[in-house]
Amino acid sequence: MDCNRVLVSKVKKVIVAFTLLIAFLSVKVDAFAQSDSATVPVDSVVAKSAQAVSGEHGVAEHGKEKFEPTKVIMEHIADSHMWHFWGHTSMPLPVILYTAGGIEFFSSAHFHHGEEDYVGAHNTYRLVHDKVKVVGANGQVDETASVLDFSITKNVAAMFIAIFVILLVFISIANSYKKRVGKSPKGLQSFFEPVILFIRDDVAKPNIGHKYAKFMPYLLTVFFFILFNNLLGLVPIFPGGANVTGNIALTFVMAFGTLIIVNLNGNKYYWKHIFLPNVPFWLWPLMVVVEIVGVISKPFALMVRLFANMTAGHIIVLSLISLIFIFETLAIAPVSVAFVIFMDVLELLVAFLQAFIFTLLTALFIGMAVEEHH
Amino acid sequence: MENQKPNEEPKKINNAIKYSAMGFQMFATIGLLTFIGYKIDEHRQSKTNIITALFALAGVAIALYQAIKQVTK
Repeated sequence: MDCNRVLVSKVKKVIVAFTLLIAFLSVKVDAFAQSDSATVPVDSVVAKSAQAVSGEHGVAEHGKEKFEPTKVIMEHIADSHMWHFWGHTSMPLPVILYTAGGIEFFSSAHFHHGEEDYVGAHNTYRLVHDKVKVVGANGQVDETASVLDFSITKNVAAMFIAIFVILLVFISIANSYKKRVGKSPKGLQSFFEPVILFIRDDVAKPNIGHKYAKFMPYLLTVFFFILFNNLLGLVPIFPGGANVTGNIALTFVMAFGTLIIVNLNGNKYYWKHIFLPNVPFWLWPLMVVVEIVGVISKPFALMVRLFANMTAGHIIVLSLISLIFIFETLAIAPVSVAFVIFMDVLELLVAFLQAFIFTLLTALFIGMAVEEHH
Repeated sequence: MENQKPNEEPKKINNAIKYSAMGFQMFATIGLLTFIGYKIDEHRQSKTNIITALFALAGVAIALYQAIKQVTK
């Protein structure tokens, strides 16, 4: 399993690099090919026909906009004020703004996909690159006006769905424990019981020690929250598809939770280790800085790891799909789809793994903070 | 926790994750300090980004110290 993890990250890196390389190369080759066919004098039938084809393409392409993989991929992994389904169908989401004038509340459908401004009670608003901006009296975006955006965006909505699913699952499990006291687990219960016991016996107990029970609620919450969001992120259609755990704001909050819990529960040995380390006195100022950096960098690493892993996964899948549109041929589709299915299966593993690693490292850090003198 | 045969395998995994976490932590430490140095340089509007360089070097030193301390524990 430990080898698998290393392999997974290596394979991922290679695939990302390879896909980006192909995307980059294909764009370049296309550009050169076009300029070549335009400048080189035509003296063979093959070249003629090739030029004819490319000419037709050019005509056909004038109507459509050029496919930009980077833009498409970034749009897909970023947060949004509406939930895109397919084609021109998307679900508007509520926009909640806190402005100097007061609170605004309206539907993002008023923006018409960013094409129109919305005249609110206090200001006029415009959607610029999926960010709500205030439009001044002169019709230009007023950058100085402060708008705090508390909207239910796609990620927030996806998070609510995940929380709803989690509540549904765990309330039903809790009820079946209540109903079937002392009996063997059944249904959903028998699927989740080993997972919960695994977190308790293999994550919490060995790393935290005998005080583990106090931290079980946090560890289990973090584990299942990340797991459900990861898994929902893999579903390409409506209730899923949002890149929730690949959002640095969300991972920041989770890592911040870990930081708070670790430091609130740190015992005197933990604090002595930070502020009165056992070093010569002239090293003391340096060591305190080093230790404090250590306190912050641990949750920081947690934040970056989850964000990077999930975002990378989404980018890989989207790049592989983009290959079809980059090459502009259906022939590449079977290869693309095969790779995407492979990556999806890999992501299934990564979804579990990242939830597990976040939980394990949280338990590890808590263990370091609460362990008795050694 | 100790001397339990069934726990040997998870322990190995835990160690692997611990060490991989160290790499990320080193990355985070260096990144954090470089970022702080960069911000200071930006604030001072200095011509050469000397503070960035110094903070990055300090970050490398601190990251190495932390890694060595965790391994020898």
